[in-house]
Amino acid sequence: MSPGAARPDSPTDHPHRSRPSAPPEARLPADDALDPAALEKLERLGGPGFADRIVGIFLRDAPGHVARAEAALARRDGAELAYAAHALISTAANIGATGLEALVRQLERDAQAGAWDALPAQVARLAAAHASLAPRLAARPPAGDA
Amino acid sequence: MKRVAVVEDNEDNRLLVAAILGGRYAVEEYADGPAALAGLAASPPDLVLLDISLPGLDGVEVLRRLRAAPALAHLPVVALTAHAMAGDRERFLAEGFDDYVTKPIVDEVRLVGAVSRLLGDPA
Repeated sequence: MSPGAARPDSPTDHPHRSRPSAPPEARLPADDALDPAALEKLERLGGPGFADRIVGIFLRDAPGHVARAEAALARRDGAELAYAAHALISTAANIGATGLEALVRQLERDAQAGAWDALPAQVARLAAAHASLAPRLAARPPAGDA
Repeated sequence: MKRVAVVEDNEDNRLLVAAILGGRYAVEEYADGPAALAGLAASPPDLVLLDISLPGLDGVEVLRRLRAAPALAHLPVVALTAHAMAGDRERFLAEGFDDYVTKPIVDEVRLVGAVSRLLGDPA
């Protein structure tokens, strides 16, 4: 497998240093990384059950955004692809999906720039990261039980 | 209680704003620009938090229409954006926004600070 190519069964194995737009020294989180502190902060801000509500919105909406990105890639619609990526930025950040947030920020920039050589691998990484994150988030114990 | 309107297409961000500001202000939510323009005109709040990247009518265009409406032109409007590029703050202030808060909206000190400053309330 070529460096940076998507491997839907193993989203954490990507050698980030090979990403075209990342500097060699960049230390990025794995695409499917989760920062538990983010969910704890949500619970503090909104009270018991608030983190579950925000996670529930991610689980409800993210599949549509991923599908929209894949369809936009197939049509080579950069504006639509950038919008689909943008829609995931704060949603990913809110739940502490730090790798996904970094990925969709880069995807939005590259889609706006028309970097079509990089976009197929990025969209595949997006799908793989979501495929890893969604079941883990769905299966997580309620906040406060950890 | 003073009223803050949040115009934001992401439901999770609207919930976060309501969670952070809800004890201090009455938070009213709009999911898109046209609904916001209609609602704000019918019942102007004290301040507007306005997402830049709304689908269809984006935040900058919503702001222009607010500024062009005599009854709404004076409203303080804070931009909400996921972008944090160099020069963005100056660009949004030049567009006519009164302040600028980056998403994710988990820095409650920054959000409360911006809103309270513009409304003349203690932070």
